[in-house]
Amino acid sequence: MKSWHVNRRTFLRGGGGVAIGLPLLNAMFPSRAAAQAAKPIRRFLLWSENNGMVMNAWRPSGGLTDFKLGKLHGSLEPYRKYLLILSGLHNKGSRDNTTNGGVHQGNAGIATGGTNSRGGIWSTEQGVLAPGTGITNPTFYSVDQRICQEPDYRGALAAKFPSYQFGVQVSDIPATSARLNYKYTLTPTFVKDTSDNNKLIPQYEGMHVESNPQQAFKDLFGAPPTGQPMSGGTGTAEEQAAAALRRSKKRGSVLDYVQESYAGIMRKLGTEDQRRLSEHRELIRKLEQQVAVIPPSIANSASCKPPSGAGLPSGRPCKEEEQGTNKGVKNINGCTGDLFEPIGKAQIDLLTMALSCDLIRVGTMQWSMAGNRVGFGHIGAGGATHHDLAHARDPKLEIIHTWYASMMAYMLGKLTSVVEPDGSTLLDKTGILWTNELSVGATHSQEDIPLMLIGGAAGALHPGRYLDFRGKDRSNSDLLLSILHAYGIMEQRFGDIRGEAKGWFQGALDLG
Amino acid sequence: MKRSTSFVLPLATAVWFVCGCSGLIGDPYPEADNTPGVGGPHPQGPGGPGGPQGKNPPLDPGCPADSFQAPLQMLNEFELTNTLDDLLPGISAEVVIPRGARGEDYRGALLIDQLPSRWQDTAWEIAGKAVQNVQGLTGCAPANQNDACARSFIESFGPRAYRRPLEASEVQALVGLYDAAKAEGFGAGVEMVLAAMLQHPSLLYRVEAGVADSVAGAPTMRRLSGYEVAQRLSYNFWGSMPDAALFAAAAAGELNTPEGIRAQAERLLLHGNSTKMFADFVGQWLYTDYLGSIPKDATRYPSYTPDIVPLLKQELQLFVQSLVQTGGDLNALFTADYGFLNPTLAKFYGVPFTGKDFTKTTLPPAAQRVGLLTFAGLLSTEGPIQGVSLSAASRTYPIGRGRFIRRRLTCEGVPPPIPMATMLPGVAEKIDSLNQRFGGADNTPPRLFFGEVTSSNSVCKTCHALLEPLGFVLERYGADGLSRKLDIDGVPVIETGTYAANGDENPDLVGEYASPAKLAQALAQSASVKSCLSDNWLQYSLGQTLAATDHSCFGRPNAAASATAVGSTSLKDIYLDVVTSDIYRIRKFD
Repeated sequence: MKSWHVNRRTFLRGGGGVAIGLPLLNAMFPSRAAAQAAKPIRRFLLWSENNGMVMNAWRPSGGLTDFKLGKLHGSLEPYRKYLLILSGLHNKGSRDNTTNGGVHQGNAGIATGGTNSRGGIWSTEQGVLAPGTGITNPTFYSVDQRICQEPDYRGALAAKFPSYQFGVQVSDIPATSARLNYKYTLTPTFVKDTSDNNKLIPQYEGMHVESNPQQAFKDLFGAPPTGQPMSGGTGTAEEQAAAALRRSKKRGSVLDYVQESYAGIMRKLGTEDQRRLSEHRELIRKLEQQVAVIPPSIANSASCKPPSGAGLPSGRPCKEEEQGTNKGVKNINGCTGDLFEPIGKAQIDLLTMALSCDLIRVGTMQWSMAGNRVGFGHIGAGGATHHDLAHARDPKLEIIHTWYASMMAYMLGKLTSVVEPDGSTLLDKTGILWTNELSVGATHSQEDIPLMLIGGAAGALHPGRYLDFRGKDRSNSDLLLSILHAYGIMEQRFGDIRGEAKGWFQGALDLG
Repeated sequence: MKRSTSFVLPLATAVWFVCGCSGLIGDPYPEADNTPGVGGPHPQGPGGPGGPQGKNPPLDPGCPADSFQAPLQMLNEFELTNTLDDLLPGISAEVVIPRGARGEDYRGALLIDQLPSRWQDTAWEIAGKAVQNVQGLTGCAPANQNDACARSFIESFGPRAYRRPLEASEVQALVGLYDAAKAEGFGAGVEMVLAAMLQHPSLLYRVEAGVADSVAGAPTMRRLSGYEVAQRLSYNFWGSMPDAALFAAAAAGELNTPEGIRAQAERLLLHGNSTKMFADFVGQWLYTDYLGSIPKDATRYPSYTPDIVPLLKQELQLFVQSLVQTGGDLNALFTADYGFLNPTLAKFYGVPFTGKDFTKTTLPPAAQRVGLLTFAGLLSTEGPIQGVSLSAASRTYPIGRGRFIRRRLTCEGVPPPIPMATMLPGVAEKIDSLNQRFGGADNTPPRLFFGEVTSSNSVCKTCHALLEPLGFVLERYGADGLSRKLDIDGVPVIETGTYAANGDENPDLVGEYASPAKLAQALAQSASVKSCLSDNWLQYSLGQTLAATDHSCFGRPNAAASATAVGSTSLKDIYLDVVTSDIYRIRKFD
């Protein structure tokens, strides 16, 4: 008999009838509490909208510090001192990828700085990756995923969710047009490179983006902490706590078995298949380590107020063509009228609270996807989809982008309303990279894309400035590398290796 | 340990349990099997009972070793949902498996960080529901709900859940889980076992270890065990776990030979349970899954209402399924003058119809029905991503139609678009000005657009010459897929088009086509189309990405079929030749 059987049984029999008292749980997090006292917690967020911008209404006038916000950004005036506006950077990795169709796939390059191709993303640096070659030191990440690899940027749920991607109407198809977040994985799929003798290229699928607030709530706030009573349970508090502990132990024992089963099956398989299963097994192992959802030290702090989950919107907002007269009503395609904004706000609320409670320190808020057909009839910009309005350079685009800015203002309001124990706000501790994969939607231009960094990031960023790089041939890869440096991650290069060959990475941008 | 069951089985599955093989209930591995199954040693792992029976003959040297790579597949949402329906009928739970990609964009599963956590919750939810009727689940009356019953449940249910016999140590480990929770009651113990089984990799993945040293002269190659072949077949033809008869065939060693595989594959293909698979496959192959995701312009296409959409999709599924199941050939696929109509669809096509349900119906000449290419469901599809659209909301999309033919029917590489920014000066402006002249891209007459853009730029023309001129052949069919005489500008449609040369691919198809019918006839006679059907099926089935060299590995066992004229090749044989070929039965193991 294998040793794990003994361990599991000993654990079950020894602990089955004895509930571990709650104070012990508090004692499980001493190192985290100590670390928090020593160092402010810094966060990073990606915020994405698509289909390009109205650039002359976006761009500020004036100089480095005396800049005046663009026409679209009136709602951001209260947060002016938190804005670091970046003009003139190109989405180069994507733009220059002439063989693999960057034009509709700019999202894949925006946070990776890499080239991309159909159905996934790859960097020439990863060209050596092929079945059976043995993969070492993978460097392929989007900026957020690179950041959350570092211990400093791992929240209480990091074992399960090193980051969390919130979305609104983001397609479940992991196409590059619909994904910004990428991380190195053991299980790329392979596609033929038709430009290179049908050579098979690994394709890294984007990370999951959750567009259903109810599911996001369940993931982040759903499970009761170990040893805590489940809501709706019966019996005395002590009985409930004991039942919850038994339940948690049973789950743990089953996870032991499942982990061991993965190991057993892996032994029978070839190298490639082993890699796939080992990745799955690693996630199960982390799941088992995840003993509590919210560390009591934080759960008891004033700024962490976990939501109840009541009243969260669900379902899918209708596209422009589906909206018709049925706002607020589920139509035949299963969508509901004007849900785009309510879902977005619910996601922002969950995201803010997940940061407040230190469940995650890295996250994404993604508004639909490249080429999206979201309808904005409810704010007076209807008649055609956002995509079609963008192609037609319709004046209504300004209404749409003004609305997106107001959603950003909504989030900034939430982040400033959370005052952390040291007296600063959550926004002081957070850096938000606001992206759009295109500048001019009508021509799919990836030149001079509109980018903004918002927040203080606990001293890592020096906002309240307008940096204009027009004419300097700098790219989003420069920015991504500079963000990593500001966050204390001293990579030598980031994004497409061709950047280095062309001498783009001569120095970091002045962000701090 | 053989018992009759008190399981509630879905009708279709029940058939196999009620017939002569009722002794197999929950025990797919009969004792007649000469290799010890449940409870016995199992040196080959999943090789076991369906295991070694002599070596496979040496492989065709013309078939490269990499063609035998088959990535381990997690069950996708469709397959996992069906599996749970078969394993635990009547227990409902929402199964959400994130969508990943198999070869050429067929749906797979994606391992995301959230998956194990969410699946753990689902597994416990299902287990909790299942043990609410623990007597139904285990077949043991309350008086007999004891340790022996639990073990018996593990021994009978386990092999169905893992789709292979269990090793003795595996049974023991599961009994250990039962023991750990039985103090809370028999149901709690069984719940624990069930929650564990549902999270087991053998349930969640199509695990394939192969049989060691089973291919002569090729140490890195392994023939799949009978059980592994069984699960490939069942997922490929039914989208679910094997039934009792298939398990029995695996146990009896019948799936170790191409002939045995062919017999079972044919049974599955002709069985009613394959309907779900056909719907799933056709929806992805022909992009009809995307039908209805963008409604049509109601002023221009008033009859294309939302209630038409599922019918159009079903029509294509019925067409393909009936051809495959009734011996239809490639000629029929591409030149059939009929469709499958019900009253609503008949009205849409403008065809007199008296029946109630879907009926095979010959369309009048005015409908211009010429096989697969001319189904309204195919031609009207518009998806959320560019590559899957054959029409837009208010106009046809010849780029997408040409692209569809080359990617899905002739399996050519078509380069994706280049970034606008790198186009020669003036092109973006030209597109803009066309948009303004015609009030938006959706209204730009296709031929004019193509001509204006490509005449100014040879870079664009390189690729676009492959797409629009081919798509133009189908201009007779509007964005609603119906035959028309005038295009949206009131100009008589021109239905000629060109299959331009794309490097050295498919020279047999290159040329001018005077009508959709001419193109359809050429496709029906094309060896490329035939092998492209195999490609699509294999990519859907096994998830591989195929390289051009893989074609030499198809269909070898059935040399007779390749002697037949291409157009007379039956679709069923194309399917069966794939599953009996070496590439399906043998796997690279390194």
